[in-house]
Amino acid sequence: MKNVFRQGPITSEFIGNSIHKHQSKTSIGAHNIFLGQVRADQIEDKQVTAIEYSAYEEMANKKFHEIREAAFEKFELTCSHIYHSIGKVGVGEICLFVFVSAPHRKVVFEAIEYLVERIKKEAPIFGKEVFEDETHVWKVNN
Amino acid sequence: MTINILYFGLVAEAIQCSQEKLVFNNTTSVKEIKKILVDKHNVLEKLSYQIAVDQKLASDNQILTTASEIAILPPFSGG
Repeated sequence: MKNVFRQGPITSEFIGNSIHKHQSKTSIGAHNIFLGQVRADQIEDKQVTAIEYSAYEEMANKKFHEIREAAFEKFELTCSHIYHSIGKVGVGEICLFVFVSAPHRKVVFEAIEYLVERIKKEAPIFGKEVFEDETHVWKVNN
Repeated sequence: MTINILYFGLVAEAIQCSQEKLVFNNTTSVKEIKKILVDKHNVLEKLSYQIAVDQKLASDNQILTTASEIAILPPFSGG
């Protein structure tokens, strides 16, 4: 089972390298990327400085595998990759990287939305929003 | 049977425990386990959570037949 989790933020170097790796796959004509970034939310009168992620990793990896398989069945994709942070990710840093590739453009728009929505809803990942004074609240996805 | 129970996120923080082993009857349902857990950790009554059995979300009437792994999962907030 592929491990989608990466310790800390997902760097722009990592994202750039992922794109570069696909340039040898010349049947691809379209990529689409979703990047989730940690927002400096104001909650009551405190500002979020980071999100600390924990997860039920074994179940989450199985779920990510299942979601990717379903996307391959539903859309004509060449590749699909998911990476999610574990541990602390500061505001402005990337915590989710979803990358799909296909011969033609239309499916990549639909596929990325499908993947991101299912990840948000079904992956057992828990984000703790940490404030400047080290207190925290637990985030809940809508 | 002895079952390993994992707690995550807000739930683990509230009960100050991330893992424990508990002994149940061989024909215990998820619903019965919920009751046993609430009796042990009263704060669970006020929290929102789902139960996964062997890494799949379980319904209340699912019966645990073998030594399964149970996880108590608060609302998800990935991405």
